[in-house]
Amino acid sequence: MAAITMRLPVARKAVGPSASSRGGEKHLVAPGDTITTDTGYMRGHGTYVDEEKLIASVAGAVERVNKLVCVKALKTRYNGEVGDIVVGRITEVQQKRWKVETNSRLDSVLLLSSMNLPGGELRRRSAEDELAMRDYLQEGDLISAEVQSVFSDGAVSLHTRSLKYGKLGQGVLVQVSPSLVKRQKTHFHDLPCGASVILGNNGFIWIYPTPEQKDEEAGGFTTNLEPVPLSEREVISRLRNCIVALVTQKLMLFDTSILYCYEASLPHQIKDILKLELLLLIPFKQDLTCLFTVSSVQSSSVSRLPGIVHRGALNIASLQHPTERSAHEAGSDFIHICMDRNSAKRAAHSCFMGQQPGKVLGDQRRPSLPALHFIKGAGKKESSRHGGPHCNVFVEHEGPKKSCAVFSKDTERDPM
Amino acid sequence: MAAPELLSDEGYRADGRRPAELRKVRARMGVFAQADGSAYIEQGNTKALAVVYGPHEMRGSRSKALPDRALVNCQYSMATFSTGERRRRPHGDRQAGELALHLKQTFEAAILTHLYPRSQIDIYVQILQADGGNYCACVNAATLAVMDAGIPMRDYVCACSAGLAEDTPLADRSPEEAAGGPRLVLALLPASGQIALLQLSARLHQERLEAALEAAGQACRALHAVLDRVVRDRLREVTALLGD
Repeated sequence: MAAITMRLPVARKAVGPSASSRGGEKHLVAPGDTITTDTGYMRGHGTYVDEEKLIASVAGAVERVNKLVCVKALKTRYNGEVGDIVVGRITEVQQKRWKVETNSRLDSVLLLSSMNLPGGELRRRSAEDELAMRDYLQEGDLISAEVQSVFSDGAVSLHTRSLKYGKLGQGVLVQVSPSLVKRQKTHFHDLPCGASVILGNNGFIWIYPTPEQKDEEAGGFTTNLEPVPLSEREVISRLRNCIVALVTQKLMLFDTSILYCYEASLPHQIKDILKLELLLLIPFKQDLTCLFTVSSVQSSSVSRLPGIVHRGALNIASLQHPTERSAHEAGSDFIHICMDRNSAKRAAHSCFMGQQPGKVLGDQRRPSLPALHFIKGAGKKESSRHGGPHCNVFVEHEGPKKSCAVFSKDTERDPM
Repeated sequence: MAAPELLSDEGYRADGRRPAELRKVRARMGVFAQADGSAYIEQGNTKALAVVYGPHEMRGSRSKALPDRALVNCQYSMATFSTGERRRRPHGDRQAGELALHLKQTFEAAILTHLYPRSQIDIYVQILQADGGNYCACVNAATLAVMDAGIPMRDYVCACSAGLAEDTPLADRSPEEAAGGPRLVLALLPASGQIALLQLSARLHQERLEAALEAAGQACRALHAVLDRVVRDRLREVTALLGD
């Protein structure tokens, strides 16, 4: 019989006053709120004009660019932009075009003329091609494509004129909010953990086994139906759960964040990633803004720290560090740095952004503590992708006083 | 006409409320991950769940698509366990159809449908527990759900009912007060004061209409304050999580 785990309801934390880390208070509005009565402003998305007043029409934060005032809703459907990478599902085969569901307000179109023919042939599409359309793509197939143009009603036209794009074969699709996918130079990632992901700008994420070689002949419209070995399937499922865990914490998705989460989840069973996250992290949801993963192992080692009552774990792998002094060398396996939540967030942020972390730490309330630099683990274990050692950061919660413990631990496991 | 016991000598109603007092309102936005927007509301013992999908491509008959605006499609249903006696048909009866139509009219007035030509917005509401004011709870839940989906609206839509005890208007009428004469249901866009829907279920003297309407309007504005707080709490929570 299958074991069932149940979660007891936990009281929700009251939200404090808006704690935006930078730039002070955000201007949050709800529909019907007057943003300004000044007529010198331009009406942007999420607003409308009534009796010369600029009024919000969605709930969200006001964004001003010179004279243009927009309200950005927390979540919306995907709004296509030229050049975006999307993953979509064929819903209909029409004359000379496919209709593709891309989480957009209207179905996108993929014209027969804007795809590569098998074999990379370049010619006008004939009536025979039209008849063979269902052989290339039929209803229910998943494709990756690029946005070619956006029509005036918001519908999107796609193209697959590159071998990168085309039909997707075996893999897992995760649907997330489009606002959580970070815009990057490339959205196709071959992760070093043995799987690849396509992070569609429309919030559709495709996780698939890394193909051995790109098949030039197929033009992206044949799929490999060889059984995928168990090990690869496990990697894929782990990645899937990691992405879901990141999304529940409203963390941006990009290759590095997924990889960090993946590495941090390695000590756990795949099925536990979400469970642990639910069990342990819901109380910290509001406070935990950095990249995190729960680790019972790490938590148990932290429990040796005196004075830390509750903790959610953050794992920030591969911190680059300017100085060579490591916590490990100093004879302790942790460093306790008190800082407020925002500087923890900034530190994590800057380390993701590839900047030098370590400048923001230190505690204004407890100046007796030395302003420690961001720490790193001992040893020169090079992650194959993000050279640099690992360290784990733990956020500590003690009632109203928000502080953070940074905990360094040499990761013994092989990064990959 | 009205039963005298609707309002005690001290001016309290059967459930202990004052005439203009609402029942306790609890609400939450974003209860489902799969839907574009969702919300749950409790008004007293009435519990409603609203889910919004869209705007998306027309499903079903494409001929219904409107060239200049989005189609609002509403569905209203009551759970089989929502009433004292178990219901046989959770949806599809005449009353449900009528309520769905009212919901559709209400939200076509509030949603800026012209921004989404040729698409469709689905609003599904379900009553989990019925204890009077079903339509009102549905409208209020659906407002939150539409907002959660990020669909532009002119304003909140808040709905509330009002009854009359002799000459005193009673806000947010409970089912025990059903004996108390006519019932007025008002759906209001509180910021602009525009009326999205007004329903009167029995005859009412012209002179009393003004007072009943005023009481319902007051109740809607009070409800707006409650819903607004829910929305802002949610906004703060999510923006704090999202960070910069």
